[in-house]
Amino acid sequence: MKRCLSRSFIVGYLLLLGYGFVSHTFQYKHNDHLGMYFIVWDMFCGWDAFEMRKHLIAEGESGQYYDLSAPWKEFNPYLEAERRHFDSWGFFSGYLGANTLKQTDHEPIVRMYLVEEHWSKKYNLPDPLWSKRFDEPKQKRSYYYMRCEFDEQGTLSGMHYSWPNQLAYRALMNNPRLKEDVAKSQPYMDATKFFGIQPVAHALSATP
Amino acid sequence: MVNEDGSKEAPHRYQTIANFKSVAVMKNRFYQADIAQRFRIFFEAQEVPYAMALLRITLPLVMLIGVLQRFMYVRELFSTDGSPTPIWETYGMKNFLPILPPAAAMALYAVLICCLITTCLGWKTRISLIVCLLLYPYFSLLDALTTLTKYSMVGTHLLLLLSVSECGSVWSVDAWLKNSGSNADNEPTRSAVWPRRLLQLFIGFVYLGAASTKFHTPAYFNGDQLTFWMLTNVNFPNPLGEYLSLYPALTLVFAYCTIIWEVLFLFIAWKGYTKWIMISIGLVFHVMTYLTLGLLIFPLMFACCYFAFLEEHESLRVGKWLQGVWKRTCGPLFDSYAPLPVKSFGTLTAFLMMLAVLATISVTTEAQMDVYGERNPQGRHQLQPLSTEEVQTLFRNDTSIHSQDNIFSMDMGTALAAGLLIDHRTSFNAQETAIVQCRLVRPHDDLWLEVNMHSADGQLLKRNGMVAPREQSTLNFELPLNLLTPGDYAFVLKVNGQDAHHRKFSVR
Repeated sequence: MKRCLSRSFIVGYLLLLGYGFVSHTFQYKHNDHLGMYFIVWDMFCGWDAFEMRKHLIAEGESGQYYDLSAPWKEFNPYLEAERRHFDSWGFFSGYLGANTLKQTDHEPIVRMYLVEEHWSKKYNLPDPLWSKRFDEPKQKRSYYYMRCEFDEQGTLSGMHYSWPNQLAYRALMNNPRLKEDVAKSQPYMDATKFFGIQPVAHALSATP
Repeated sequence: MVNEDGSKEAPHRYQTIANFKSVAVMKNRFYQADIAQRFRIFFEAQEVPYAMALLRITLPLVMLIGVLQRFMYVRELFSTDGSPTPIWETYGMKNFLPILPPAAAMALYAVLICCLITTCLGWKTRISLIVCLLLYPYFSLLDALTTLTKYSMVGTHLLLLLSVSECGSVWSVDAWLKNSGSNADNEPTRSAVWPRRLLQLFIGFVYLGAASTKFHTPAYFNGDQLTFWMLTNVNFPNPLGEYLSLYPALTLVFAYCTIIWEVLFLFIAWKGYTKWIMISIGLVFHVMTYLTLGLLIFPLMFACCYFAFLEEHESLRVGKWLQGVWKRTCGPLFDSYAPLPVKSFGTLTAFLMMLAVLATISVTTEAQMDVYGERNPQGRHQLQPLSTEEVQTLFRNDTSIHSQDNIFSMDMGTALAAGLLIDHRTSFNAQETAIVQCRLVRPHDDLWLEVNMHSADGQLLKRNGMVAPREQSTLNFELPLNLLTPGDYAFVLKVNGQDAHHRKFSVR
């Protein structure tokens, strides 16, 4: 009986590992279920050319805007960035904002915003290394980009393209012929409007 | 007890020699056997689980680095009085697992810490491992932002495989209590090798999966992906990575070596010198992920995993060496306080009581911490208003970037390999052709790039232009210098007609 159980375990476990590998390699249902996160080894996904930090903002009834970063000591897992900066896709920032609202005194809040700050990673070079690569002094330039909107409970009410997608979209649509063709058929690719989307699981698998 | 080759099992001190014989016989049999027999020999051979014991001792210590770091933040990260970010919601699953109130979350978290420690000590090993196997992934899944990573999943697999092994039968409190009553030189219990085999296969599959991910990532093969990762400031500080990012060709060499090693690992890391080559490369690779990418727990966890590749006599040797180190360093300190084996240590009641006491202490302590500052003399925290200037900046909603930020780097040299500069220079001979390499930040528009040659006093000497289509990430300008007299010059890079970067150079 014990031997039968152990053999079943061995075969089952190997089948599971094999399924995870095949599913991942051929991109077949590799994000269909939470269980796939346990058997898909995609440790190296999305490191693009821009560094990103998050700014959570609350809008009060009076029209005053507030900084929603936690006023207590926020968790900082690797000494470089606080927890709120790890929400790459903005799905969870509403929860973080709602918790800050819950634990602080403030006027009634009508809306929350997630603004992303981006800068080119070349500015992350320390000054001595920067001077090896460029003759100009380092002058970091940040871009601020509205990513998500939440209601006062932290529920996601709108989400914009990610910053890289926005840049790619802009590059694509910077083509008069294409722009005209799209306008003639269906003007559905309007990047300036918010739209609700379903969270995508693979977005969160970028960490090693 | 009789071995498979018919010999009687040797007493413990001779067991290593006997194992050598046994392994040789097994090898011969393995190559002569059919598939079913091979399966049995591969998975069901008997050994003393020293290797799994080493993993059992070291893995919890590595896990504790991350677990203890979050101890002060349990309320915020994992309880209903905080902002847990359960990963299952991204899969469209609501309430897949319960989120507990702060006291219950804290109690369970304390139990997790205790069980990691008791696993390391080998006290009630199986129960400790099963508790860890339930709680470690639970807390990881609850915090998708900062706790859940792929090493959490690797750790979960390791806990699963340890919990089905007999890793607590040697070098453990359990074994110490079991043997304490008898004067005889008790032989360690032998058990089937399959948990260790599965662990070896698991590691191979992880590396194969990681290689597959890289095959799906075109930017990995031109060095961009690694360069950007080495410059990302979200992991631990990684100054060596920042330095290496200046040399993308070198990065590319490491990238190709890594993928070849990852693909080969599962197939040749089993025996002989290839095993040691694969493991040595693996150790170097994981150390480099710490130095260049700022990872810590992931490389340590994999270093522990490599114990699975040690055969019985090898892991015994490592264990003895570690015991020697322990005795030399901490032995004198602990010998005088060494507890006597008390039979009641072995009872489940003692174990559960210890968990209950520590959980209670943790819950009480956490309640005193006042994480959210609610008992501040000045009252609760207030939201900080933003100034008008800050609001204007934050709501700027930039949708395009400055021309200079389309350029990631501008390097000069004379030789290329795999499309990347391999000699970075600022001084040239007049007979040489300078190569100015511009690496672009993607995504970018279709760009018109110029690299113009200027004299030291700024006079334009020569214009060179090229289109960079949106899919291109590297552009090389080849510029003969034979018309220049010795002296100082500069290359000026323009993007869509705007100055982006200047690089000075000299001609000898």
